[in-house]
Amino acid sequence: MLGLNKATLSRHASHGDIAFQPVGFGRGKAIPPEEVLRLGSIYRRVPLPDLRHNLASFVAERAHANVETVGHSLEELTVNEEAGGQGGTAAMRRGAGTARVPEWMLEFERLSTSSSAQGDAYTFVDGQEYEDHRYAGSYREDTGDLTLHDLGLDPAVLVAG
Amino acid sequence: MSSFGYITAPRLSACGQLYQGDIFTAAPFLVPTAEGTTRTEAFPAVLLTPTCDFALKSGGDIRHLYAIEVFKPDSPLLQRFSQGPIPQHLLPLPPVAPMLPHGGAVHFRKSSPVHKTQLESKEGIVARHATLNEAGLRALLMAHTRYYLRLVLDPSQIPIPPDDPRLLWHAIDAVDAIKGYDGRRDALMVALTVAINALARHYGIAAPGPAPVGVHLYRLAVLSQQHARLPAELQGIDLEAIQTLVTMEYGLRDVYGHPPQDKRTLEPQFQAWLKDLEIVSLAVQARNAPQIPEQVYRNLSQRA
Repeated sequence: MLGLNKATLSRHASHGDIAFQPVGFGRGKAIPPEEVLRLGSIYRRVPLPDLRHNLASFVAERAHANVETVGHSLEELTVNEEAGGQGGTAAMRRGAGTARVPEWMLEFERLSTSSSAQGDAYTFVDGQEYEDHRYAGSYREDTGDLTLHDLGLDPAVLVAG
Repeated sequence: MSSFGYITAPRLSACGQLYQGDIFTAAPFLVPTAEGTTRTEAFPAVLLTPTCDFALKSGGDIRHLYAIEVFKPDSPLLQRFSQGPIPQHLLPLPPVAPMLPHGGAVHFRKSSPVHKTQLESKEGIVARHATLNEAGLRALLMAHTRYYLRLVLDPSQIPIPPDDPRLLWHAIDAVDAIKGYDGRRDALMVALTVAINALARHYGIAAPGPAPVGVHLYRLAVLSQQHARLPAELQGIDLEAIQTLVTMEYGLRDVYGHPPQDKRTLEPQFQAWLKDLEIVSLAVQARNAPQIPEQVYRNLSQRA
């Protein structure tokens, strides 16, 4: 998303220059959205509007928030960032007091620090999402050839006397 | 997919909800007479939504029944099923004692509306003998759609609501069917995922879109921690079921992170977790579960 090499991010993170949360068995690192924005504004590998858009889509899906609301908040954050200057990690600046933290970000941050939502929990994501009423599978015209087997029935269970 | 079968008590709670595929020994069937009136007959029947929807509508007062023919050893249909294709207006049912000793058939041409109070009372579901298992429900929905639309769907892709306990029972049975330690551990994790999604949906806090199961578990945990702050009418959530899932997730994660030298020592724990999941499957059957509005959840989350 930032157009940066993963190794670069890892190196900075290990030097304490980037705020992150370890995930999984220490194999991965989750970078908070505002930190992603900060890095984006420093490195400028990706135009900021594009970064905001991509980040908003990414965060909105996970925090169950409206993508436009998130995008708007990110825009405000970027403006504050540029007006308020740099220095220190996002985590440090949060500690110093942030004017207004959007609702979606609170949830996103808590999710990334919650033991129940962290790490392995993400590894068993159910890939098969259900919609209650809509069928999205394949179908064919009925040619009257349906058998017991097609219905998951063993013909041996229905035996005439 | 498992084979077509039934779920009965004690898994199926007598005081739980009605589900599509519920089998009644004697349901009040409305029969029109030649005089233009109707009379009610007690008839074996299966519960099904009257439309091509795949989920039973819980709103409204009317439910829909389809008649079941109980086979005898010399039933002509039994002969026909064993010899050739299945007619569009019928769904064969495998035997289940004592109601269908030789099996039976759902007749889609013979249906009846029924007031919900005729099927469910405060004491429980009236005359429900069993419900179809996941494979049975999929076959029923497929056959029903076939009858109305003359289309054959892929039963494995028919959407079933995540809080339908059949998905969880299927996942639990899948664990039981596996012998090896690693396989059982992985199947337990799948079952846990199904249980978390089911309970989150049961309380209306699961997002409709794709979301990591960890998010659902987190939301359940917030509900549990902030339970005292919930409005009185929403406090009827099953805290034990939620805590069971949170504890199990911790435990399973530990199993993955620190596998023991002798993996057999984990079997008692696996058995205990399977029992816990059965308890959760009872929790998701509870009627009139409080539905936590998004804003209420958000308020709780802010205070967490």
